[in-house]
Amino acid sequence: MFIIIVVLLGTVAWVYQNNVRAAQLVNKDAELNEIRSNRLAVARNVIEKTYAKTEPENRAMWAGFVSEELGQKHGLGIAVDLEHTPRTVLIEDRTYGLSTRFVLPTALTD
Amino acid sequence: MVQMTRGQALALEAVLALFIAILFIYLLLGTGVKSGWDMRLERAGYDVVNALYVDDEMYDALVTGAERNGYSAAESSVISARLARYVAILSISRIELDVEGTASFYAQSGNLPNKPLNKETFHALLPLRQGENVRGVTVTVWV
Repeated sequence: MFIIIVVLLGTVAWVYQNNVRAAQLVNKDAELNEIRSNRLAVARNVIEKTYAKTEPENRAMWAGFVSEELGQKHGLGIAVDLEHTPRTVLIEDRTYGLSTRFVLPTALTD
Repeated sequence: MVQMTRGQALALEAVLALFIAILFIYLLLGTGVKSGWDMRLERAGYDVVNALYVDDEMYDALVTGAERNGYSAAESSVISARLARYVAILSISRIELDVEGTASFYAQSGNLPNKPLNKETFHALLPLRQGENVRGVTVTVWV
């Protein structure tokens, strides 16, 4: 009887440990995705805010700086399309397969 | 083979059962799903970077000093006071703000925790003279 109880308890503990490990892996993935999504959100916010504070004639230079400097520092690929209307920005995190594309505000005077 | 009395066998069984119970409770309760990352860093980083642009007074002080390549005492005071305010609002330990090649500012909580702090770095941009020039800004938050 004692041996049966030990075996049963051991089995329950083993199954529980496996579930905990699986949950930890899922949790780690979720955390990583949240962190990378947050970085995309920070980059997007910086792009939108600085675009609004840049005069139309300086936006080509601004776009170059955003793509190279900001993209490199955040580890993201940033492509600003000022040629077409509406103007768009594509931010890609190639390592984790995340991306976001959004439209920049276009005024009649731009 | 060692012969045990019934009493000895029962005592040994009780000791073994106690060990197994302790092990079982440890396995069941001693391992939870612990977070390896302090997400307050991410939230605070976003908020501080956002504050650079929406807090007009701090933004004006940052831009004016960066355009001049140096900060006056009044501008530094505004920036430091705002950073101290954000440290309090966001319940974090420290904020460092580095305007590329110009100046660094920081503010920290009065009661720092008695343990090593975690930090994370975020990057932003400051358009100077309506975007004629762009200056990089590094924000480091500590929790």
